[in-house]
Amino acid sequence: MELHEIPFEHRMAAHCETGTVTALLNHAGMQLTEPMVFGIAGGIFFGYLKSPDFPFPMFILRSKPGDIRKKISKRLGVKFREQTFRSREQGEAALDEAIRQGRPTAVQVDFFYMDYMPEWQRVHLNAHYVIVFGMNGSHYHLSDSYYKQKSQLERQKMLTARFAGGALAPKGMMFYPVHIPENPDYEKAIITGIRKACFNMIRLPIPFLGVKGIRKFAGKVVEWPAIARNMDDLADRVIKINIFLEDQGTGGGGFRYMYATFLQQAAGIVNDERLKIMSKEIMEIGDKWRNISYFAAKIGKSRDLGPERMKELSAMIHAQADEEHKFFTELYKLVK
Amino acid sequence: MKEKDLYIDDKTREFILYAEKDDETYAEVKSGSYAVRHCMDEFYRIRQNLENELNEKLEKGLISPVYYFMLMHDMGLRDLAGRIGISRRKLKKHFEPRHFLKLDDGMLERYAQVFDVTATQLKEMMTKQ
Repeated sequence: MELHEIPFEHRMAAHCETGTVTALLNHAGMQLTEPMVFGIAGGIFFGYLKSPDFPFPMFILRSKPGDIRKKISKRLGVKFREQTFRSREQGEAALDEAIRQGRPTAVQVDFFYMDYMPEWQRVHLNAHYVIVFGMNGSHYHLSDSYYKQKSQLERQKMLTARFAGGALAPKGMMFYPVHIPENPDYEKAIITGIRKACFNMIRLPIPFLGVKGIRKFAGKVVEWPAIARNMDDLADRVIKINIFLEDQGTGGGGFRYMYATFLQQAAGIVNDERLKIMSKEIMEIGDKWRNISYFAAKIGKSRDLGPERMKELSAMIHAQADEEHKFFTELYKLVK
Repeated sequence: MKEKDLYIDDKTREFILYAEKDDETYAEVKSGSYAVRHCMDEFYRIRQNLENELNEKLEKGLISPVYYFMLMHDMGLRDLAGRIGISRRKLKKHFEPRHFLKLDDGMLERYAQVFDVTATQLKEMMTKQ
């Protein structure tokens, strides 16, 4: 039996993609925190999406999957070897080879097949990332930033998860860093990251993305009772507002807490006290998102979902749009 | 939010949040989940109701196991069709028992893999009636 295990420090992280990229960079000797990776990549975002890929309209709070890696690579000069595959055999062989070479490797998987997670948490979502750092004949050894300890996954399950079809199909996607720059220009990367994030939030001319997306969400949420299958479905969707904002790898307050942490750390690096003030502001905006998530959980649980309550929820979200518009406009001025 | 206001003492599911520490720096905190703590019962109830409703429809021959699992797994039409490698139109056909019963083993196997059950289980669900 072939046994390989690369010494690898497992750490939990708020979000799978930022956690994975951070862990790989830390392993390669580049000391960066998860919020810093998130901020430099300009990960903060909002979008209200309706698509045949989802059973119900949903909102997103971060840039699209894969973007964190790409932007980190672009802004810090880190080079990743990224591969996708046409066949399962090639994908499996390439992952095994990377492990044999002693490289912890990130793979994109369908979260559903991560059977070490509790069953109620497992959903079909193709944009999950885990790090493979070892293998034996039948299993891969994994570090999943959502899980408290290192875990293992059967070879067959891993293959199924890596080659699941559907929305955002991973196609066996795997990556590992091959070049870490000696003296990356953090200041420039931070400023670019902030500028791009602000642009995405307030300037994108698309009616359901950025702050416009928050407004769209506020406007549409009152229509949810009409499109839900029944009362149960509506309650479920409203409680899920809480889960999307808090539990699904956001670091709380819909990624706004993580962004506040980034701005605070960034203020120290670029020596700009104004970023510290902005970090406090976005922390408070995060608190208001958290209030929304508590409110949604409460009305969903008690089935208090009449038009009045839905309007109240909508008004809270509208207020968030105004706050975030003001915040990102101010932040944009600082980095222009 | 301050760490003490944000922290939820629940070990069922722990995850990382960011919060303000006593020294005013922002850093990670391992916390339990509000939803798990307060809404888990509701979730199970909703799930159970859905399961009962779908089982009833399955027994009456109104839906196929494909439709049953699509709803139980909360999947979108295009997403599921993409995972199976068929068109949405064809997928909709498979929601009907009479079309589902004609599926060959290869197709059943593809569904079984996505739903994480065996092809035999899928068949049995249909023939139980």
